[in-house]
Amino acid sequence: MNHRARLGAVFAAAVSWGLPLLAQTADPAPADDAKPIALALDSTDTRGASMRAYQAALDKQKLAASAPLSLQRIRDELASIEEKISSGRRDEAIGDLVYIVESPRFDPFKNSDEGRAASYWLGDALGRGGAYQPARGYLTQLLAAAPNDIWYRRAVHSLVDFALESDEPQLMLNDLKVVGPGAPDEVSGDVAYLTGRVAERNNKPDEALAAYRAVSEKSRFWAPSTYLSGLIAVERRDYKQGEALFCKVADPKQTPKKAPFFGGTDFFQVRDLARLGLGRVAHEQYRFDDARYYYYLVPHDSDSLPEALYETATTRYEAKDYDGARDSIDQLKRLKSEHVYQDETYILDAYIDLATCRFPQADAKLNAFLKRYDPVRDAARRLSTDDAAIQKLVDAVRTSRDPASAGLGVSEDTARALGALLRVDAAYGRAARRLAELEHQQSGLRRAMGDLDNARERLASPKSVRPQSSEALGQTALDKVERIEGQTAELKRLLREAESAANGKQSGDLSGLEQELEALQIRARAARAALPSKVGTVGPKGEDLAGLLATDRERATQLYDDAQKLRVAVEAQELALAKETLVRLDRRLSRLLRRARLGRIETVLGKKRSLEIEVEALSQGLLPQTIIDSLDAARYLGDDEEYWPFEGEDWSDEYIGGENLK
Amino acid sequence: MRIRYASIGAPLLLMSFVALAQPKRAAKEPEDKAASGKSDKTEPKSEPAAASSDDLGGPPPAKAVGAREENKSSPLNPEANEFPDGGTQTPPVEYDKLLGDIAALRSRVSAVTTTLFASKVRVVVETRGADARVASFSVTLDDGVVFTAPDRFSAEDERIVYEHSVAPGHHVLGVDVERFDTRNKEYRTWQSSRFSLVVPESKLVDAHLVIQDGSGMGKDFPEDQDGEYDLRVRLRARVSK
Repeated sequence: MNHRARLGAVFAAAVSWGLPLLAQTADPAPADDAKPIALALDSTDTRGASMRAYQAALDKQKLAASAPLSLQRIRDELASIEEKISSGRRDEAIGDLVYIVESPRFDPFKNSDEGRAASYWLGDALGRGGAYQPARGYLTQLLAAAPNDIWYRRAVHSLVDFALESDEPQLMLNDLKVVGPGAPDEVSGDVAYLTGRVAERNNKPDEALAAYRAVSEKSRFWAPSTYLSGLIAVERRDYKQGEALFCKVADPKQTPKKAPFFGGTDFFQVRDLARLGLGRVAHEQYRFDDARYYYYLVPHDSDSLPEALYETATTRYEAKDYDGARDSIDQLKRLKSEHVYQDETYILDAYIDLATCRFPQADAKLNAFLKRYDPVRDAARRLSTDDAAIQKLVDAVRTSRDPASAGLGVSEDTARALGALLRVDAAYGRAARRLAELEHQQSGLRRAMGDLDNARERLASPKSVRPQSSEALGQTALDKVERIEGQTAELKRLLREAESAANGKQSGDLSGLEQELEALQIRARAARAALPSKVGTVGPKGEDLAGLLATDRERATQLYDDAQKLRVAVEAQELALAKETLVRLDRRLSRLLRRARLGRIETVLGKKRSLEIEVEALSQGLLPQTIIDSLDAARYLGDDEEYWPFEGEDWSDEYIGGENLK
Repeated sequence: MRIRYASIGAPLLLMSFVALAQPKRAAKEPEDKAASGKSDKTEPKSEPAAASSDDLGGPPPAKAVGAREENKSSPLNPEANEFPDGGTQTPPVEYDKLLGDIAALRSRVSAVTTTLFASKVRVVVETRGADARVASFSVTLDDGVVFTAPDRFSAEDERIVYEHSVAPGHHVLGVDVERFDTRNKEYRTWQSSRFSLVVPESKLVDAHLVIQDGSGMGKDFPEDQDGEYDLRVRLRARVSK
């Protein structure tokens, strides 16, 4: 692999790790055959008609709210709703907002400031929960106002956020086509940035560059746009242009004054990435001193500091400035933090020793590397065949938890080393988010099904109370399946531990247990697939309240079943990405282990050669350096020790120690 | 004799330098940039190490025509297949639609139950324990999760996490909490509790949860090999009006 490939790959990795907002840069366009189906399923329907039907049915039964709605009431409601959203009670807030917004009483206030605020909060809350279609329905309604309207601007802001998170940003971009040239800079900047990202996704770098150029300094996306423009220039080998663009972000003197204020905290993350980018461009052009300077600009409190130090060391090594390389490696060690370059640092450190002919030290470091990372690589290989363990490990890394407590069945050191080295890419994060959203909605749906059953019972007999469940606490089918899954995962971990203890020796008992466990896992999967979807009693459907409740109950069951099927597909995607992460780690460690073994051969050859030189020198009557002054105490002092020789200043009546004896 | 030594030493010297020079040769020289472009094309694909059972890797690549020793890339450089390929698996096409449908149905059920039921449940949470932090926390009511704590959740002061209309009668309130010791994150606990509640007609039931952690494991066990977990989830339910 050449430098350029490394440069591109590292840029892509930096983008996906460093900036969640930029995480989709490297994504290819989705499969073409999926597009027509996706477009056919696209809709900005708010599904508000169903709620309006409920309102009408409630009104017929004189159950609807009779108190007139007023601006003050909406304002009061909004205050409590905003508080709920800020404290994480988003589902409750959505229910409250739907009740207000989808009421005929709300129509007169729809275009008031308060009414628009309610629509905005509803759309925003739905979108943050992953329900993009109804969210777009509510938010696009707000785009009919003047561009200076606050809810118009906030709607654009939210739509752009959803587009950057979603897998179909083109749909939101289509919604934003109504944003005209008269829009404020911050609004048009948001849309231009999204346009650029979508163009990059569709492999149209020219269009992307044109869009990024339109992002003004008053946009929160000025720094990412400039940085991504620089990346495009670098990919085209236009290093001068790329460097100029990175400098605009990296150098405070060249950065427009307003950009950091509008960019928020993300701005400084992008600035660090731009400095790393400058270093890499200089490195690519063999301007090793420039590269060192740019890496040096990455501040000490930056998350990118380990990367900067490691790459400085690499640059100095390639510039044959081994002292400089050693300084950077020492600085990196002093950070005492876990970082993804730990393994590569070991090898580079040893190779610096090799280059400076410190063969015993190099050998010791390479040996230590082999001892530490051989088991890690083996563990990565073993875990890559265990779905539950992979998910536990990758989840622990993604959520910054201690991998040693994830129950992987490997030693704590190995688990931590695996966790530290795993480079989770943005695609996995998105897949995990999708699964979490689906699980959340499914769980809420279960509750909604219970509510619908209660509501129907209530309508049938108004004085009825909810009876005590016949099931014992924590004994639902779902609880049981979850416990079974937990137990099988634990069994798997114990088996892994037993295998490690057996040191690769085949055991009939173990293989028998493994087969038994596999059969159990198949049964557990079947049990989850066969989970009853809590089918309610089917009632007559119609326009009245009972009929609507019956329709929704049936719909809920259908949606739950669909979600179960979808969940299987989403889980498979997440698992495939997690496996790929482990396989990549296996490849990297295998390469480094090979490199370490080769390095050890070189240390032996080096030691041999140094002995030969000594022998040769002795044969010519020259003493080698190791023999000269071998009795001088100062030679045996460490770097942090000091030797003060006796200088004859003791007083005659003072006790004189051994140092003055002759 | 000297000449004989020299004749043996010369090849040894040469061989040793060949071996030692490998990492040094890694650095490419600026003047060879044009040539490096050519050698890039002839670079073989890296072998899939994960598939093999040892570290030997594939056979050494054939030397490219016109390739020079100075053009070799650093042996410490990673290989292309060690990076994410930037590809992603798009979600199933019906994903967005299904999520939208479920969210809309849930929101209207929530809105309708507000009208139909006069009884309410309010769940208030309070966390105690100076050295304990909540890693994950969720509240369930009957069959579904009604609150999931955001990152860095803390409720040292009382915090309402749920308040909504429910059918009068029996309900099951659940709390799942995972905690860790701030002094030593390795010491974690996970607790699941279920409480049966009866909500009277047209009344608000205030369910006050106190999640207490007086554990000393994180501090005591590493020092004395003797520690204790002390975890409590207390619920006080009170009819407010």
